Amino acid sequence: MSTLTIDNLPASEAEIDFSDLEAKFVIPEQEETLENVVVVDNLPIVEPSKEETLIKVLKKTFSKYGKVKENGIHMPKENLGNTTKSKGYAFIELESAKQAQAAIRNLNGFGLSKAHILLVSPFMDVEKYTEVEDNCQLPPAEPFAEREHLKSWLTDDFGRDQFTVFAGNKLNVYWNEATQSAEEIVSRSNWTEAYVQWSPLGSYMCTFHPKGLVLWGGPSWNKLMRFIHLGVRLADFSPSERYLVTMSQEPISLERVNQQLGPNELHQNPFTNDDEGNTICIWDVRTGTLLRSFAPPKNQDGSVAKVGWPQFKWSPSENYFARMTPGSSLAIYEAPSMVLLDKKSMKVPGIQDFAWCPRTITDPRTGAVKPEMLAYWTPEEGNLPARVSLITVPNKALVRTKNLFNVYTAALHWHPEGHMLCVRVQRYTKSKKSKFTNLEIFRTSEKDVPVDVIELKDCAVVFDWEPTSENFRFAILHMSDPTRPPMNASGMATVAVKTNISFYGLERKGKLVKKESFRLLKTIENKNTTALKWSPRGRHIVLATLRTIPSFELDFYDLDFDQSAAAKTGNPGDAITQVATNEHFGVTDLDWDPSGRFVITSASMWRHSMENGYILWDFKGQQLRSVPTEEFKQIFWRPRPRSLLTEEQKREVRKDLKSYTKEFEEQDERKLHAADAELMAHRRRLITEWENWRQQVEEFLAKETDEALAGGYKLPIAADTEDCVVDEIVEEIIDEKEEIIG
Amino acid sequence: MIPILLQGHTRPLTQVKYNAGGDLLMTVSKDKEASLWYTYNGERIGTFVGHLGALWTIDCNKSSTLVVTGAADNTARLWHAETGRMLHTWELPTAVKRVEFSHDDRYVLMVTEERMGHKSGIYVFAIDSSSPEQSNEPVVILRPSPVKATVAAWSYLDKYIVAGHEDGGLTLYDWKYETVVHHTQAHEGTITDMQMWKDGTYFITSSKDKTARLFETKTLNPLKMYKGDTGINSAAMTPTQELVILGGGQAASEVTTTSSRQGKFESRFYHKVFEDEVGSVRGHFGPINTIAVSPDGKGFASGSEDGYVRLHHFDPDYFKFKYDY
Repeated sequence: MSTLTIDNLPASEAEIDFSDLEAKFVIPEQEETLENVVVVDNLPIVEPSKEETLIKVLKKTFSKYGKVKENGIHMPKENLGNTTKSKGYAFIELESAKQAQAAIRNLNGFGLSKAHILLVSPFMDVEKYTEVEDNCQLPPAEPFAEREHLKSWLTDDFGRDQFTVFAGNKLNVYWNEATQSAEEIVSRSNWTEAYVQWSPLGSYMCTFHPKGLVLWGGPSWNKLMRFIHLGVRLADFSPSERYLVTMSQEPISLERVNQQLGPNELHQNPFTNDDEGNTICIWDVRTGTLLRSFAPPKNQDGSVAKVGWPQFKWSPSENYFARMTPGSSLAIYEAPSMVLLDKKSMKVPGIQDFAWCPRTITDPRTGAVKPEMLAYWTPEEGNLPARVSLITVPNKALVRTKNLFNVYTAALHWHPEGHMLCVRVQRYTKSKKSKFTNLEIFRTSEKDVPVDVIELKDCAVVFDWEPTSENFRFAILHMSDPTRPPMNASGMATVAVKTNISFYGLERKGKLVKKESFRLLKTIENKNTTALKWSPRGRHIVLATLRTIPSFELDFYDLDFDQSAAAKTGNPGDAITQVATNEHFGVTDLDWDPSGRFVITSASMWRHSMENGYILWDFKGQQLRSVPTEEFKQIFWRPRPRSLLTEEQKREVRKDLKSYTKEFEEQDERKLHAADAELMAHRRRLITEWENWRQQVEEFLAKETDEALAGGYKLPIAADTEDCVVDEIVEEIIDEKEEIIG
Repeated sequence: MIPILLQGHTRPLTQVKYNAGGDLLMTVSKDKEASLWYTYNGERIGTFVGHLGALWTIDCNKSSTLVVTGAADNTARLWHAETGRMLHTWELPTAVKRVEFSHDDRYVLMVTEERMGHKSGIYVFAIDSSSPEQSNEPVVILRPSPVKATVAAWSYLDKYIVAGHEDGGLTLYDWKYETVVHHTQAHEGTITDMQMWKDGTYFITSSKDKTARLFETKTLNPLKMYKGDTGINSAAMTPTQELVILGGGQAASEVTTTSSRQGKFESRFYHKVFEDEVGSVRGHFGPINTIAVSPDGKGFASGSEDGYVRLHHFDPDYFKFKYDY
């Protein structure tokens, strides 16, 4: 190589001699791989005469995803007596490995005809599987490890409930106590890195971490399961806790997951290439396996559709789950196979919201399980009215529809027991100037699904069913102007809004011919209430003003308090009585315990920083305990599974309530006594210690004083501390007259 | 309990103090005047006028004849209690944050601020009660370390001086020999007040760390702790009932919005031995800066950032109060 000087610089790139560099950085020619070859199985077996047609069809099918090489389709044949037939599979060579992957992804499972569902796999797999040894070696059976009792907390002798408190970086679990402070069960720092959540039946506690989600539980509070999902934000369980849905803002990237796991734990990566880019995962809770991942729902124009959480809603049996793409379709999937029901989603133009009937209903006469049901609504469009539809799943049969007019928006509220569906329809008046609400109540378990309509004069903004199905009562929060009050940055309303609360119930009339209709029981006017919270056992309700800076009232109501008044007037609404009214400054959240005995109100630092902490009340609204806590964030009762008792058994218990009451009262008394005795003993000990110490000090001081006085120290004569009465006689000379007595 | 509202000051109160007999109340405020009141009816006897800066502290001797005040004008002054005549002025390098007569009335201690290159100091001056002339030469100057002292008090028999520091530390000095007997980290925040039990064998401190604590003087051993939920500016012990009274509230700069209950401007009562909160007295609409209990235990006074002194005489119920044990 000639040396370069300023005079003989090359004029163009072509003149530069790169040979040395080329030799140095030689790229070894890529070995020819067979990665671009795929194996297609389950083809029809054809005679040579039809072979060409089949190859043509295959070529057409595969060229959608890549270019099939010239003579790239090879279909082995075999001689069967006097005819030659294809063996039912073929090798197809595509131009590149990428195209082959695309073909596998899209055509595996493709139905060429009903009998011929194609199985497409990479050719390299064939090689891989031929290397598998013929003699199967069973992996050593893992020793059976007994799992902890996940429902152990339900066996508590006193039937206490648990709750979690998340404050600062500490997460604590407590036993609730009525008469003394809560008993701590476990307390760990940095247990969760975002927040904490219970599963719906209380078996698991979830903590959120940048790498994923962890479930805890059992008597030891050990880690039960780990789900790797980077940046997980939201989690939702299926109703019986069999499946878990997690959502993250970051699309799944195999590489990122591997990076996070480190080289030794790659086998823990649950994802495959197919999951790349998806954001939602569905897991099997017990085994921890990923069942399927989903991309966020897309609108027709390809943009990501906005769907609330939970994105996937589960049917009560957990056999189906569904997700909608607002405005266009509803996709119902089967579990655990995770495939679309009937292989396609339902086209529902305009769909705005849907909800599953929350319980599987059995026919009271035959005992047969009725098919599961879901309801959805579509808004007005052109000449078509808005419509609420009820369909059964899996056969997608329409059970009932109802047309609605002048609809602004609607909300679906299923009764928790699944017998009724209330559609809260916000409507325009004819002039379109103001809004009002219609409540359309579908009795879904009755024949032909009759609908009751309650027309309100103003707008119902909150609707809540009483959880029990005895009287089908519900409460609504209504006001004339439904605009939301102004909020500050952390979601606290800066002004209180005047609201009214009304209670309705199903009234049964007539003995021979049943006549049932919904009736207004009572209206409470001019409150600042923002939330209606029923006791999980019904009957009691708290009207709360949550997340409002100037107002923080809690009104406890009993709907069956004054039975005699109700009996006198014949209006069950007259029994409704306010049993207590309280305030909790800065209250942001309210939560009933699952047994309906206690209420916890809390003020979270996520909303404001004043007087954070929680207060425990009993169901009558009596304050039991106030626990101010610094950096208080969340408090949650541990949910309980549904009672296993039948209605008859519950009635029996209610009949025998007196004997049970006695037993429990004795128990409480003993506990209280023990606690009292303990406290008294503690105090007596403290006071004795204090008195002993004082005596010691006084003896010491007397000695010191003597010494000091001997050394010339002189205390001043203390001022007289005894009270003394100073009598002051004030004489005032009013007039002076001199008289000469002569 | 209906308090007497003493509206004599125009700026935040800095200290209130009863005389030994409990019939007089002395108050000082940032408005440069000290006032003297009858505790019986809240009538003002008069003011001590002369300081040129905010007053921080006041004390009088056992016979209630002499009054000493300390102020931000870098002086401490001696007054004739009855006439309000100024008898003497001590010039100090920096502001005087705390003054206290010794139990035998022969000395007065003064805690000075750390400022303008001057270190904080605890000055002890001898008091000659027989003449108005006083010595300008301190008997002793203690130099608190590692950080400045905020408060100080005399121990039993005036043997020691206890100082509370800005970092929450406590130091027990044998002042005559200028030696440190004990030092302990008592609080996690600035010590805001220190009040001795009448015989000087234990004392209560209050701190910005939201607690008040009780310590034995001789050893500085912690005895009790009372937890509040905001910074505590002052703590006092009641001489007859076994109670302590804590006063504080959110710092004025942190009080942002409307309702006065948000600031926790209450005097809160705790049981001295059991450490349980037993009650509270509301009324101020600014943080409570100072609390004093009458030596006869029949009342207490609180002075607040809001410029008012509330003088309370306990109801008969208070004296019947008995804690179960």
